[in-house]
Amino acid sequence: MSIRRQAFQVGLVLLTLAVLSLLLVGRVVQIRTDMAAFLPPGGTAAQRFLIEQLREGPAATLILVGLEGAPEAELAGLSRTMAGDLAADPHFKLVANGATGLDGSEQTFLFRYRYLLSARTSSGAFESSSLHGDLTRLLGELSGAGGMMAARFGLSDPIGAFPYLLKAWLGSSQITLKEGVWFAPDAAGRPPRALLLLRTTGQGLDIEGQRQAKERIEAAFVASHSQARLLLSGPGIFAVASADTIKGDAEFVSILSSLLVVLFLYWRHRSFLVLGAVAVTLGTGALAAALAVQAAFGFVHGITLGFGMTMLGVTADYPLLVIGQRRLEESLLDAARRLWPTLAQAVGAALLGLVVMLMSSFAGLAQLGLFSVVGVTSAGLMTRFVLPHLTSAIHVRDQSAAPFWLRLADRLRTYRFWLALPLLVTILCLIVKGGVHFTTNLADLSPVPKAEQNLDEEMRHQIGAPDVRYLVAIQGGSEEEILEAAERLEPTLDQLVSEGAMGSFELPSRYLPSTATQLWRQRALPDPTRLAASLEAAMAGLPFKPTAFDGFKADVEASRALPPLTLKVFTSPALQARLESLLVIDGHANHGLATLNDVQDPARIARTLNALDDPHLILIDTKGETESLVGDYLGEALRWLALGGFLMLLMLAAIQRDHRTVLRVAGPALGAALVALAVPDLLGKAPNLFNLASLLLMVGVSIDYGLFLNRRNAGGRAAKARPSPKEAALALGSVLNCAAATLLTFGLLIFCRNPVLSGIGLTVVTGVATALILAIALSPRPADPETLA
Amino acid sequence: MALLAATSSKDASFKEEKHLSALDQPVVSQGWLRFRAPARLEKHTTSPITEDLVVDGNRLLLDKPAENVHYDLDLRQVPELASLVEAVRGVLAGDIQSLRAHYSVGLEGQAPGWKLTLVPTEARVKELLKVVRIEGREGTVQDVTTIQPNGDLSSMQIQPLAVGN
Repeated sequence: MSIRRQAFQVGLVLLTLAVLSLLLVGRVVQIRTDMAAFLPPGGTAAQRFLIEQLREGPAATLILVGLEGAPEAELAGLSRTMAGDLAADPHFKLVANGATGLDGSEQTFLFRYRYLLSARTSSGAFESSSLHGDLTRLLGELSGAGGMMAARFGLSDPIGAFPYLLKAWLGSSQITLKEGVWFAPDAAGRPPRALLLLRTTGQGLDIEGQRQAKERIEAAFVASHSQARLLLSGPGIFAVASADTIKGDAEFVSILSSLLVVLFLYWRHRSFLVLGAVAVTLGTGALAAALAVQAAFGFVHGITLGFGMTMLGVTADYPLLVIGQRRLEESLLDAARRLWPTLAQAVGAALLGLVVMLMSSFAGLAQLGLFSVVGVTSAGLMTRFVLPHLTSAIHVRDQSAAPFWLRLADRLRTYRFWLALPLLVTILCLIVKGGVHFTTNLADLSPVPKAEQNLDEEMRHQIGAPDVRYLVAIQGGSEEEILEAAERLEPTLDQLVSEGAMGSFELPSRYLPSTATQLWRQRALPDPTRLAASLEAAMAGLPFKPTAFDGFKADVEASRALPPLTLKVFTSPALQARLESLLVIDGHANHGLATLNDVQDPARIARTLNALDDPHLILIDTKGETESLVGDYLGEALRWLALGGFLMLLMLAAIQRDHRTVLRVAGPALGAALVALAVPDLLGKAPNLFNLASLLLMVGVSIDYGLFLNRRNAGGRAAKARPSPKEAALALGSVLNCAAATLLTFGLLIFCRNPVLSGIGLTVVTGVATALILAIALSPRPADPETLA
Repeated sequence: MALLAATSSKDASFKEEKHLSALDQPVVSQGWLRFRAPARLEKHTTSPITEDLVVDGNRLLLDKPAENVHYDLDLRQVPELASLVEAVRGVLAGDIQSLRAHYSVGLEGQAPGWKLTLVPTEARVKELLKVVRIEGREGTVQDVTTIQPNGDLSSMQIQPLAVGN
């Protein structure tokens, strides 16, 4: 078959793959990007709680908006316009900029329940002496500029339960109101900054949802044509920024490295068909893998796809090894048949390393495992059974290694025992350091620049928004039990605020007191005769008409008969938006939440809360809990890695039945794993969960080098026979091709800003380089060394 | 109206009497007013309590030093208050357009002795305010009377202090 015809065929296959991918992705293959789907379920109660909080907790869905760089009046106007636009947007559950956000009917509702909800209610408040003071104050208000309002609300609420209630709502944030909207407190030399607080409808880990929310905010800002600057912050905003950095880096790197690999492969082979063969292998592998993950999990995670495709990049080795080691007189099919036992071992070893990932309870890693297993299997089978037919006309230059490389290889073999030295040094370093230190700190994986983290902290402090880090969970029981527990907690938290351990806090009971408290307040309300008597005494000497407080009397009497408010009858949307995240009553995991803001002294808070000895209260340090969570999975991953390595060794031993060959094949992989773990750690870039996953991949590749450089002649009939110089040169040449392609692919990742990507790059590059050197050094000398001269 | 519009700056003392349905006797307060065209209006009460109210454009500032109360509001957030402010400010500025936006306007008499009657047109304002009557002589306002639906009545007598530039 002519090359031209085959090139056409390969083109057709690639086109079909591309069309299939376009058709299937989004229709059959569902891609999800929320981290929630990638995260493990969580072992302990605190961890499960934490993950729930990361998904939809009050801290996770918060977006802080700052507006500055324009005069105060313009900023206030901008704040109002944006709040108006965004309040109508379904992406936001809560839009707050200082206006109470209570509409008429909500105010009426709250006003009706004021004596049950407000902490101002106590029997003392209705004594004549206390009332007299209130009435005198009211008289002053009636004469003043706010007289109309005082007449409207004050006459039916002289004790001021309603304003007291609204004030409690504002909490103790240091925010100030200017022109009716929130501004950061004045400070010398700082330009005015208007502040808004938004809560998204979508989950905090739903990157796409957060991105849409961010775009809506930006659109609302742009629509105002203001000269002001928009500042955005919050976990969702960070997540989007970090996803964008990863995407930007990954796109740039993958384009550049693909280009480099293509150029390199063309330079080595001078054949477009080789490029086609590699592309077909990778394409079918990725498509099959994506379909398999979709079938098994019901969706494919974006990370699985991105990371998995990178991992599958190494399967380009399979066609390259067969094409490179084909003898001159041989057909591609014969070469594939001849090399298949070795190739099958390589595929098998890689699979053993990856298959253990399938067992992971970490959904993300299990997906990644399945993706890689299917991709690697598919690439192996394609290389053996499809490519020899599809691209039989491939004709490439002799891929024997150049004399320079052969001499270098010879040198390496001569001094092979010296190579143990750097390995020993590495081991020594690790022993001195006390083993490899993995990082479990998720922030190490975050590419958010320090400046933005500072801005976040500053705005959070100014607006009094909950800290992302510390929460108190009030667990278990009924709505009533949780609210009562929250009320018991309040004096302790007040104490901590006054001691300066934290700035402020939020409690569900601040908005919705327990039924017990409401009933207690109800009992504190005087009956009509007593109220009339104390009012009469209180009015003595004041110019109020006897009928002036008839409305007040009627309201107090009505309050005595009101059924206490519960979440179910709390119908106000503005109130529910505030309460929803603080009190979750869903029947199976009821809990309340106290959010702690502007935490200064976490140790003191922990001590104080522990001293309460209340089993329903859990102080959650989200950072600490995430770390222990990641730590658990890191441990799990390390155990799979060990198991995978052991299985690989078993397989090699079973097939090779010769301990020297097993050492020659597995030794480089083990050495590479050691170096690849140690180098990032020694460089101060503590390895993470993703480094470990890329280690599995790297070990799989390293095994290839050992296997092909130690391939026995003539299918093992002369087991101890050395390879002919020609065979050895071909094997070395093709292994060098593979290593160069892998280094080109992963080397650029090191320069990514994202710590995950650069970590993977570093692991693979150091590992592959080590494996290559060790595999060459340990491989047997060719039969007739004279030919090298 | 033209005469009113011609003066851009006015200072005056005031005495306000409120007759409230809740009270046996009127409450009386005194102080001084300042107007700077087109949109700044100040009302400083000196007795019985100290209170400073400043409306500038859409911004409303209210200070009661004795009670440590400080409000900084946007008038558009409290439309009923905005209409009330507009009544006084519109008259002082001689801005009939602004008045007509919130009220149906009736005018009696001539420059030497005129009488404006403002009846609110918006439902929310009607709940608070029945009518505003303003009496004046040439370019000065002498008396502002507001009557609420419940019969509460406020009457403010105004004495020019000095006519500004």
